[in-house]
Amino acid sequence: MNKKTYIIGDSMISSLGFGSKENMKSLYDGNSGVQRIDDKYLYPEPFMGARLDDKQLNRCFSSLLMMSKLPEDFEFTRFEKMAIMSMAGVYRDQTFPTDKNTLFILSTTKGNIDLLQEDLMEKWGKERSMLYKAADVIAQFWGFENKARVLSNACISGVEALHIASKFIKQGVYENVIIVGADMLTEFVVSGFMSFQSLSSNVCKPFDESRDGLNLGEAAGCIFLSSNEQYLKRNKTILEISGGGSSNDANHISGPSRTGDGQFFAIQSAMKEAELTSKDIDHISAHGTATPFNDEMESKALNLAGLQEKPVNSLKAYFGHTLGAAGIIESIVAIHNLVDQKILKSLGFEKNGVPMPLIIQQKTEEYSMNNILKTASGFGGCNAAVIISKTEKA
Amino acid sequence: MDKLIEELKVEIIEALNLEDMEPEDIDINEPLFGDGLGLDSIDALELIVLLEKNYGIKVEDPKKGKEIFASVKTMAEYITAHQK
Amino acid sequence: MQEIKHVYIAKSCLFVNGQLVLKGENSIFVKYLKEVYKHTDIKYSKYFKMDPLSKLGFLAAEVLLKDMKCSESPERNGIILENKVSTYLVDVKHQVTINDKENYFPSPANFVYTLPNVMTGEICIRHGFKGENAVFVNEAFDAEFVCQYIKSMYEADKVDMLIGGFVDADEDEYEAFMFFTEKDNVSELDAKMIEDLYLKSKSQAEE
Repeated sequence: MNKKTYIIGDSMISSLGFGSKENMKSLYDGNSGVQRIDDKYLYPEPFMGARLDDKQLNRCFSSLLMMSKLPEDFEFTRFEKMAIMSMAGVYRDQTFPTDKNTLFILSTTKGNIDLLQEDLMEKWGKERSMLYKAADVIAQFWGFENKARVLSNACISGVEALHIASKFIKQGVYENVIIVGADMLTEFVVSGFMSFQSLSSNVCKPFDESRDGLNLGEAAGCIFLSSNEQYLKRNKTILEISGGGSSNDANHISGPSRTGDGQFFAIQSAMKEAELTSKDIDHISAHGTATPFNDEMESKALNLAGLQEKPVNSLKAYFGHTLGAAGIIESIVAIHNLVDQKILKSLGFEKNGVPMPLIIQQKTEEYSMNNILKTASGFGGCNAAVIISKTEKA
Repeated sequence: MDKLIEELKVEIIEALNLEDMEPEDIDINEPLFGDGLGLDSIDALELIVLLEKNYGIKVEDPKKGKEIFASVKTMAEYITAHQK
Repeated sequence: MQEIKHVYIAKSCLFVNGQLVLKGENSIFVKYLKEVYKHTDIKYSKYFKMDPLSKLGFLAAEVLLKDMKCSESPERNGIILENKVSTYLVDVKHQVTINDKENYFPSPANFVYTLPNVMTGEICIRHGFKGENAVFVNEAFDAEFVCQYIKSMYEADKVDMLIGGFVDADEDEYEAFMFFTEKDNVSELDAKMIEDLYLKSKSQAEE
């Protein structure tokens, strides 16, 4: 039994705007959401990061409360609001089901982690800081019948969620999967990455010679996948997840592989499943964090996969690294790039600084594409890849 | 200097969770990274935190860590030279 | 039918295939883990750097994989674990280092363990697994979901060997359950059977 995993709808909120449309416009205009942040609640010193507009979040969220299946006076955390907001954007365009045939997956690294701060812990309590609890609250907002699942696999969570969901849908385990990827910019995460000395003091420069680290960001994105063609009525271009895979470097818990073989295995697995070869891949939306070792590893992996002549970009200089949301929001961008037949320049890139040859996209322009490869890598040595393809109804 | 070296050994074992080691197991001239104690990049960052926390010394350039953390002895020398 | 190999660690007890193998002298979590470490008879200095969750997962995998044959293609070996509180113990430890602005020293060696999949990463490094790997956070071990995932990965021809389980370390409690599946026995894999193996070990540990 091999069904197709259609991409029915998507929505996202990020430092670049609320809704996929607003985000895409900002990206095509070449804007970056990364800016200097001087806020002692996030870090004692100023740093570069990408932040959501809190006022807009609260204002927009209050208008959603009428959709909630929870009691009227139920209070939501900032993280839960972000996740629900991104889902509402999908729901408005195409009502998604919440029945037994539908799985809800939350992709996040740290969820409600800000609740560990003393003042917030007093108000919300330990259980609410748990990832399963946040997922449960979000699921209850919409009334999902199945238990919510949380995939927490570092920075590959979003891409891996798409991969796992598409296996479930293809095999008929579930008809529909709603995936939300979300993570916040918090003092917890900023201080941790600071201690790693991996944050850049400028807007990051993926694949560039002078790249010196990443920027952190926050975002939430939602993708609605289904094998049911009835939901495709509004889609002018029909897209599917044609293949996916995950892998591990089995090398080091925080340093990327020196050979790129782990990431290559994930790409190979995705291409094999999609029955595509490197010739068929038109563009790669890479992980591209702009740390020296990550980008070096990716150049090796893409060469191992024979993709060195295909245009590559990284979206990290637009959104910052949004951790558990990254794989979802960057896939949403790939979805729109396929629909619009437009490719984005890899912001921050000037001169090639990776050891193996890559074509880094330097201009936002019209570009004819059928298949986009989206990759991700993360702590714990994990890698994931999915292929988003133009398709026809089965 | 000897006192500082002994202190440092204990601090390194504690900060890097080298539970299977005793201070006398560490040769003061032995390389901390690579073959010697087999420390890695996270350990280097942890030692940078140790210098700042316990000795008030800020290492701004992580690349400098290589020289400073060559051995327990070089580390002690660096502390002596930079401590205010 | 051969029983699926499984390991259970909780309440200072280690069970292999439902048989008590090591009853701890220490009721304190980390001290008991040290007894299990000694029991495995390995020398692995990286073990001491791990956080409690990774140590627990690492040891469970060590016992589970002893004398077991994995695929010779590293990218065909995988692992899927569930976990309840994610990395709560390490998260709190990290939070403490940043609560006081006058004494602000976040530790990189601690921060790196604030992701539950670093535990699966440690297991992959130790055993050279380069295939599918995932950590799902769930309130309790859910045999049905874990088996759904496992069957799905075999059906998609992604793996030849896949470890499943649940590993959790909280303030007062810890629990690890791990089982071994391979291509040849996956047709026998049944959520109800896995659930029963888990509950049997669990009730024995509670006695």
